[in-house]
Parts: sequence; C-alpha cells; structure tokens
Amino acid sequence: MLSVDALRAYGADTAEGLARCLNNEGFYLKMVGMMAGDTHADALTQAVADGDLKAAFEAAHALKGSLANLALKPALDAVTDILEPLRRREERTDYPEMAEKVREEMDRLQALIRG
Amino acid sequence: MNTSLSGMADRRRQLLIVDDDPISRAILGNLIGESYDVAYAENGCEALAWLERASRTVSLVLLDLMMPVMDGVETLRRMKESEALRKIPVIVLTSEGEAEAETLRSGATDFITKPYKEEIVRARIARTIELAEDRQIIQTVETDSLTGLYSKDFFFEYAGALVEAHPGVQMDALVLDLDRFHLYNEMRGRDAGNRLLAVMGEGIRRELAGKVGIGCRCQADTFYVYMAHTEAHASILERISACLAEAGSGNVHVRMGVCTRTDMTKDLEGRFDRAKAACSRIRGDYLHSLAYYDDSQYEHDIHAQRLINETQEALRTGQFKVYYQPKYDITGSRAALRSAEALVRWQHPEFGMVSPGLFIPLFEDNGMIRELDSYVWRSAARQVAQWRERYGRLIPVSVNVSRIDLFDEGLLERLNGIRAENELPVEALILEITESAYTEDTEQAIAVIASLRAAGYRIEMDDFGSGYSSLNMLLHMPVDALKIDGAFMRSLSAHKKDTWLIGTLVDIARHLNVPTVFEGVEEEQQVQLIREAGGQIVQGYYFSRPLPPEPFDQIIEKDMEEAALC
Repeated sequence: MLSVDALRAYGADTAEGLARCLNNEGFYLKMVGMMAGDTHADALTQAVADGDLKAAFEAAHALKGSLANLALKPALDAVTDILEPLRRREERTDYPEMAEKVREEMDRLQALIRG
Repeated sequence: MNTSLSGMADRRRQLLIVDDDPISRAILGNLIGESYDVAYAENGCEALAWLERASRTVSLVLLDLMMPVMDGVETLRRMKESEALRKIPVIVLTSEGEAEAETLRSGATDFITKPYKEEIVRARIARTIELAEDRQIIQTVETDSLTGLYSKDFFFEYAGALVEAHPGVQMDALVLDLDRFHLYNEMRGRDAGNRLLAVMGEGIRRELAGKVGIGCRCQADTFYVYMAHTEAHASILERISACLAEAGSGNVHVRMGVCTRTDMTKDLEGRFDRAKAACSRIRGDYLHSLAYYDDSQYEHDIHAQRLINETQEALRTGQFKVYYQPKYDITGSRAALRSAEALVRWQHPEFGMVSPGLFIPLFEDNGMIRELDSYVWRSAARQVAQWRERYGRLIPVSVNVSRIDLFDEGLLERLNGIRAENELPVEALILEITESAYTEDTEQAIAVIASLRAAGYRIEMDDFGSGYSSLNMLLHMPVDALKIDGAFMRSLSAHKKDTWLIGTLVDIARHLNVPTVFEGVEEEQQVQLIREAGGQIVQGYYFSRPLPPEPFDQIIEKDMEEAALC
C-alpha cells in the first residue's frame, strides 16, 4: 500500500508535497494515487516520435503541473528537462531519450502507486 | 472598515477554479476550501457557462492558461467582452515564467504560479477580492445605479480634475431637465420612470463617448453635463430627445440650459447654477427647449437678487399694496357683487410698479412667499372688516394660499388668528389654491386642504385647466369652486370656435357639485357665453381691473344702489 515513507524512498519531497495538502496525509496520498492512470507520458513519447513539438509541449506541461504540486521530484526533474526546450520549440535530436527518461520515471512512480 | 465592507466580510465568497488538471484543481480547492465556497470547471467553455449563471455572486475566478476546448487567454478575452462578466476579478494560474505579463495585459488582475505555495495563494486571493470589492464600493458611491452616470459630489470632483487634465480646453456646462417626469412616474409607475431615466443616462453617455466630458444625475430628473465646448447643443438635445421618444417618453419633454465657455471665470458650481437658471427660464415653455445663460439673464438675476434683498424692507415700509378685483354673480337678472380677490402689487421706490409675475416666483423659490401671503391675508381681513363696518355688509375676499403654506403646520392657526384680530367669520376669507399644488404635492396638499375645509373655509381651485388634473383625480379633491384659468378667455377671443370649452368646464364643475369662477373676462360677449353655459361667477377687466381699497368703495356703493333699485 502506498505510503509517505515509500514516496520519500522514491525521491519525492514529501514535506513540500504534504505542506501543499495542508499536511493531510490521506489527501496527499489520494492525489498521488490519481497519477496511477496518468497517460501524459505516453502522449509525450508519441508526440516526440511524430515530431509534433506543440503536442509534446502540451503533454509535458500538463504532466509537470501535477508532479510539481505533489513534489514527485524524480519524474518532475525528468519532465522539466524536456519541457523547457519544447517551450522554445528547439529542434533537438535528444527528445526521444528525454521522453524515454520521463517514461521510465513515470513507470517507476506508477508501479510504486500500484504497489 | 465601513459598514458595506463589513457586510461583505460576513459573507462567504464564492470562487471558481478553472483547470483541466484534476490534481491541480483538487489541491488548490483543498488549499482554499476552508475560507471560500469553491466551484470547479475543466475548461473555458464550462467556466463561461457557469459564470453566466453565477455572475452576480462569484467573487473571483482562478484560471489556468493551458487547457483543452477553450484555453485561459480566450476565456479571459470573452469575459472582458461580456457586460456581466467583465468586472469579475481573475487570477491566472501559471507555471513559473509563463506569460504573466501577457495575461496581466489581457485583463487578469494577478497571477499565481504553480506549484502552489499556501501562503502566497491565500494572500493573493484575499488581496484581489478586497481590491475588487473596494473598487465596487467606490463605484457604487460615485455612480448613480440607475443611469451609470456619476453622482453629484463625484461629478464636481471629477469635473475639476477634467479641467486640470485638459488645460486650455474650453468647457460648457449643460443642465438637462425632464418636464412632467413626476406625472410620468405617477401614471406609468416608478419602474417605467426609472427605465426612462436609464435611457436618458444612456443618451448622455453616448453624447460623451470619445469626447472630453462627463455627466451626472444631479437630482431625480435633472442631469448635469460638463463637456468640451461645442456649437451643436441643439443637435445633442435633439438626439437625446429622440432616444427618450423611442423609449416611449410620451409627454415628457427635455429642457436644456447651457452656460458656455464664455464664462470660464465663474467657479464650476456657479457655472452650473447659471446653466440651471437658463434651464428654469424655459420651464413650461413648450416652444423652447434650449436656453443659454447670457448677459440679459445675468442682468435679470442681479435685479431679482436686489428684489429679494429688499423684501424685508418693503414689507416693513408698506411697499406692498393689496388691490381688489371684484367677482360678480351673473346667475340673476343683473351682475351682483359677490366677493373680491386680493392681489398684491409692489410699489418699489426706485423701480416703480414691479410685476407680481416677477417677484412671486422669486418668493416662492426662497420661501418668502409665506411672509408675503400673511401680509396679504392680514391686509385683506382688515379691509373686509372695514367694509363691513362702513356698509354693514360682508364682502368675502379670496386670498392666495401658496404651495409652501400647505407645508406649514401652523397654517390654520395663522388664518384663524388673522380672522380673530378682525372679528371676522370663516366665510370672510376664501382660499385660492393653485391646481398644480393639488397635482404635484398630492397627498400632503389634499390632507391640509381637507383640514381647512373642515374648519369651514371655502376653497377655490385656482388656475384650473393650466395644470394636469385628471378627471379621476378631481373627483377626490377637496374643493368648493373651480376657478377657470384666464388663458381660456384669451383663447376664446382668438378662436371663437373654442366656445364649446366653456360649456365643458361648467359641466365638469356641475358634476363635482361646485360653481365655476371665470377670470380674465374682458368682453360682454364672453359674459354672455358663460351665462348661457350656466357659469356662475366672473371676474375680469370687463367689470373692473384690480383696484386699491378706496376706488373699490365705489364698486360696492354702485352695487348697493343697483340692488336697491331691483
């Protein structure tokens, strides 16, 4: 079962995430639990593969919003890395690797949530 | 904190969070849910639909920028286009460094960055709501809710600032007044009256659009406009009148008085006083609806002010003379002296005979009419007593009771006191009360008049036909005689075909069970017409002009001789 300790072990800044949830542990874990079904990482990977930087940016942006509020650092760092060049619509060759990194961190998070 | 603000503080405010991300929505809602009622929308379309329903109760919108269906920028743009939604404050939710400046330029009040920081979120929300409510309170105080124009105090403050902001621009002061608006209100109801005022406000705002100028509703149906000089006042008036006519204004008619740039030396309120004086000059003049304050009116006003200043002295030194015009009963074989009307004249040591048409309105305006009326009543009562002593006959005298007297709680005591001083019965004084006192101050006037009648005084409704009594109103008015306005007689001379009017007026009086008194009768033919129609009493130059007491003695003596012969 998902716990604050497990999230801390995952690398989340749980103190920050909990503060944002008014230190209501149950509410915080419920919010994190909602990330279990998040599909933005898939959308990001697909958009990068298609070369659609706008769609890639939108997917990364949406994902970052949730991760940042919950202070889920590993996935947040990965998505922040790809978001900024996408915001500037930079043409780069390393987007697939960056998207893959996001995918990996999200997989790790979602596996943790699912237990 | 003032009362309105504390009133608002007691209320739990309603906020709308618009964000497509359910986690962000929920976290933000959880952060502020203890202090506010929170509603949620997933995109701009949903938000606008919800706001249309709740525009009057929502205090703030928290709006994400990047959303599917309709994004935040478009939502904000549509809110600013909507009359109902544009004043609702909006805080934009952004990620750091995202388009803050652009959103503020689009009309957002503030922004909050994600990820949320509890204290910052709460502080910004509280501050934004407070600022918006303060602004709302200021707007409520500074503007007239019916018309959206400024209230009078703010108008003068902003008019002063307008002049400072546009040095060298010559400004005109305009006063617009709605004639007969109170009747419109009475007959069509206050809601219809308010709608008409709103149309007037809209017409004025339209005239001011894109120009240097502001407007206010100064009193019930009086509007002030301060605007850059133009020669097109007639066109402005025409357009505003057209707006009103289109809104179904009926007989309501707009008058405009203007004090133009030529008088920039006068202080602001003084300039509006002058525009108002010009506007008052054409009250009741349906041929002219636009008047300018000019040198001749200035001279007129100075003259009027001198008369006002000298009134007390004139009362003390007996400059006011009471004249008497006989009233004859024409129902018998001869015209018999029935009574007289007391009419005041001012024999001014410098100006000679001053017309009552000039000084009575002045005294009515400043309240001195009450003192003058008392003076006339006392003179008339003394005169009736003298005639009774000299001729052994009571010749009643009718005296004017001004509208302002009807608001005097001691009116009955004043009249009774004057009678008592001269040991006169109540029949000795007939009270003439102008028709407009009945129709304009209806409830108060009718109650006082009824109490005078209950005390035994006979009441003649003066100037009947010059005001706007409806036949229905007449049925309920306490009155003992209808005194037909002299204008009817003048119109008879010019248009012989209007003679049927005499019969109609007599019929109205007959239905009310009261006699008619026709004044302004100048020709024998008119007397004949009145007699044929069944009218009873006449007064006018045909019999005698108003006379000082001594020549009036001869009228009495002549009447007594004729009576003896019959």
